[in-house]
Amino acid sequence: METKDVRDRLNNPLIVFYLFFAVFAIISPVMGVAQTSVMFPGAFVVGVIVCGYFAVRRKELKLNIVPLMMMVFVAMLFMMTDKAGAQYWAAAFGLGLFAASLWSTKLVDAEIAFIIGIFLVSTFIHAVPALITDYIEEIDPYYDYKWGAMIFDTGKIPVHDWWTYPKELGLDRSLMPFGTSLAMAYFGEILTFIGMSYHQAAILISVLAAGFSVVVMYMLIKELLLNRENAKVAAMLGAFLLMMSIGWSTKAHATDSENDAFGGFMLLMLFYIFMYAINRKNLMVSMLVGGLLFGWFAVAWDGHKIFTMVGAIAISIVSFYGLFNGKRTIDYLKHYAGIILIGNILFRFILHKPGVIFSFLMPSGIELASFALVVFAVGLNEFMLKYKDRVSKHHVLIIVAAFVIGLAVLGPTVWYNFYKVGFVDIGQPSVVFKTIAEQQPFASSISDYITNLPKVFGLMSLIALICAPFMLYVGLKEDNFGSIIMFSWLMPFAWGFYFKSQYIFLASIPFALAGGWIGQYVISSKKDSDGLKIIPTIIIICGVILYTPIGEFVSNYGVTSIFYNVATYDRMGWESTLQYFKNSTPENTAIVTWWDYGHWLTAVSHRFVLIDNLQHDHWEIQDVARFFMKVQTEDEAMKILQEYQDIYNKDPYKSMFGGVKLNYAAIDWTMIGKSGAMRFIATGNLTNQADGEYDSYTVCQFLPQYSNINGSLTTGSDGAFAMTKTLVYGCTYNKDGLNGIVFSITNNNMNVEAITQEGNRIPWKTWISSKDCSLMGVRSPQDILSVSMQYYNKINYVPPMYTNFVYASGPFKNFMLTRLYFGDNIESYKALGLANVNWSKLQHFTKDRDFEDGFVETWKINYNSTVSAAPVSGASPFSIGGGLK
Amino acid sequence: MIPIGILEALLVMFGAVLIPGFFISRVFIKGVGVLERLVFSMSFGLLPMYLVYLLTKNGIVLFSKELVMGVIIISICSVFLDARIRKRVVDWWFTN
Repeated sequence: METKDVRDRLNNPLIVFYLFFAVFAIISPVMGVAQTSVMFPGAFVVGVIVCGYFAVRRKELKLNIVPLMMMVFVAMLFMMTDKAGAQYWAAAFGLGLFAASLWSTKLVDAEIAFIIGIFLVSTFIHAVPALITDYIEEIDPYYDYKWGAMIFDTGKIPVHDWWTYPKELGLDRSLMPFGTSLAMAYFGEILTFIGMSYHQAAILISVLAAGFSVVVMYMLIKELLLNRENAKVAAMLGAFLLMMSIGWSTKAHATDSENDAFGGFMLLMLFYIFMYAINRKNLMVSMLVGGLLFGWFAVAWDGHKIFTMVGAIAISIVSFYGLFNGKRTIDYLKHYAGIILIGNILFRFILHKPGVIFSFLMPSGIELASFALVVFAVGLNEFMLKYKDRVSKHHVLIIVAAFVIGLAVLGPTVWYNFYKVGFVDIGQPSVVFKTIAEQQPFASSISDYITNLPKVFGLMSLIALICAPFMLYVGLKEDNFGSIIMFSWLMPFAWGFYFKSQYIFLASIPFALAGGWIGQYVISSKKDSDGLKIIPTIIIICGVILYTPIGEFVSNYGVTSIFYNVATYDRMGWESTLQYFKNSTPENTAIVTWWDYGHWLTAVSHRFVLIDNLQHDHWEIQDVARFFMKVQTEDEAMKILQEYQDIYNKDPYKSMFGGVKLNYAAIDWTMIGKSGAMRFIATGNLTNQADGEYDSYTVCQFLPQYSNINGSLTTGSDGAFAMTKTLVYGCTYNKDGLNGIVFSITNNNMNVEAITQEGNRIPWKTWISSKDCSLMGVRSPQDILSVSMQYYNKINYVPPMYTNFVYASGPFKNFMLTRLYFGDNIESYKALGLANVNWSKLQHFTKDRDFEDGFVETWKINYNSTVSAAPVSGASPFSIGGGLK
Repeated sequence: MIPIGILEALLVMFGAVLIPGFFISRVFIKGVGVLERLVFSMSFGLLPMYLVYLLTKNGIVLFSKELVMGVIIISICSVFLDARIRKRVVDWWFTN
């Protein structure tokens, strides 16, 4: 661009207006809701009128449609400041306005402006969780966080996990891909130059992936649809769909320090390199760039298997079809094999056991099956086409024979490795996995799938499924390998997601990719508007609007949830407990608690646990479940713990850490809700995977809408007037048929009644003796009743321990979880006739601490142990860098 | 509005990938457009991490700030493997 051209382009008043309004929108979140709701919508409406006027004057209205629409959206968002997240959307649209204005004022072309815009908006919206909190989110991210922190602090790559599963003497991690953890440590070192450190890098690594991924998605779709009409439109649509995908945002957001988002970014890039090389017939790019990237990818995330599988399916489809249309596919195999073989060599220099520099690991079943399928398909294609003169008479017979042999030999292996134990895992109905929500199917039927799919991937996901057969048709008939790749990526994951809701993130990428495919068929000329292309054009316009926060209120697609993928109350409620264990207990301390808190205790407190969220050893998980939810005497409970303490007393724990003391038990409020899962596992049969018992505690929650806090005037039997207040607690489903409990309080008297499923009221004394049950709570009944009355109109802000009773019947009255968690206040329940238990004083458990008003409670475990309180060498897995043997 | 701290950290992290990646990609990939160069920069920008992992996993050196910076500097200097760049630098040095 000449200087004169730049000067002419800058001589445009719209630049100033757009920049002004863009900055206004971007900084609006810090200005406060009250101010924005009054002035800003009006200012933007005036801005639209003024800018529209200038655009018309300059005869550039069409060029300015996009920034004007952005300003209209911002104005609408400013009128919705009561809606959660509206202020963040206003800032996001402000960034979009900035990028759009670069194009409409002709400073950059449309493609560059789009890339700038989508990169900025994607980075921003996925960074919003970091504005809300700096807690790492949820449970699983702490696993990668822990290893990254160890690399950062000790300089060593972990090779053994000593923190967990003592019956297995920990877990060998020498073959574990820690690339993402290392990347977090890498960025952490770089951030020290600006006064930050590892934690900030861990919080933001998924934002990096989110920002880069939309750019790579755009470029990938352009390569997949190279030289096809409107490929850029399809690419823009696909990048937009990825950015706004709820499924994608479950991992690609700030505070998620897992390897999924970073892995997703590398997967997109690997496919881009593959397609780039194929389109330009450049084997060097495949082998060098693709091979290097695959090698790095395999040490960072298991998702490299997706490339192997999807590539194999696509090449096989084209190879088999090529038998009929004469297309040879040996070139595809060269690129595919080049990437995979070189990558497999490179990663084995890293993922190996200590003491060697290279490993001869067997590839996974799905990779072997995929590679074999490709070699078979391309081999058949080469043979038939190269020697077609010699085989023409027996052409059909050979093809049929090849299919039969291929199906017989490869079919079972592919089926087993993909469906049964590979990607879909339906062949693993273990007792433990049956209790995990994300291991369950996403849908119960096809209609359920179709109804719920748009809630996580948007309307265009259904369009992607409808277009799938057309993708296959276009790919084969019009020789577009990119469409075959999209089809081959979409179908396995659309199917796999049906059976396993855990694949919400993995499936988000192909759904966005395939959703963009229809973008090729938009109207691009006046002639097209009279044809069928009007249909996809309308679908895309409606679809795009429905993905925005404006469309959220129409389509129920909760895109604003992208901002609120943050640590929940559970995690924050545990912070003081985690810091207590870290700062106030010896380094060689172990804690018995449920698996959910295993990663937190090892990552934050740097203490040992028996089990964690890896769910690696189901027998040890069952031990812990039995400790809390099966044994009914203290002796039986101690037997379980003593087994573990005996292991901790011997080598290698003794020589490495001076022994480990299993000295604490920790329980939190959410274990009440998880009691069903714990009971199921505790009573299940892990040998034949027979189900355990379906039973749990019942939680009775205060229901202000059915209560009478202010009281009503009643007449007593003596004729005197009295004020009676009524508090109603509604109970979760239970086998006893208890629907609720009513407390009627008159002066100093309290009458308690049980409400049955049929609505009948039974005096509590009668109920308790007929059902062998008790009512208990973390807080005393007086506390619960008085807090319920005081805060009845703010009940959602009150910790649940103050507004919920727990109902236990049968054996649930005497489990260790019951005796520990509710033991403090049981006498006050007994005194009011609410509980009927006969517990002897605990000999081995002493109450240690309460945290967050009883949200978490800890107990010291006392047994005769010869292990010293502090390790002689002061060692922990942290200080020796993950246990180099 | 993103606080300055988060903005700063993101800029540094994006730069930590793109800058060494750009220089490495100049050596191996030639004659591509701006957007292709951007994607290749992202791809090659991960290579220094692979190198760090390789060296630390095999016990050759401990993970440290010095190692990270060293690998990044080597990555940037790898651009001199490109003969055209070397020639340009030499010509500039001896002309001025």
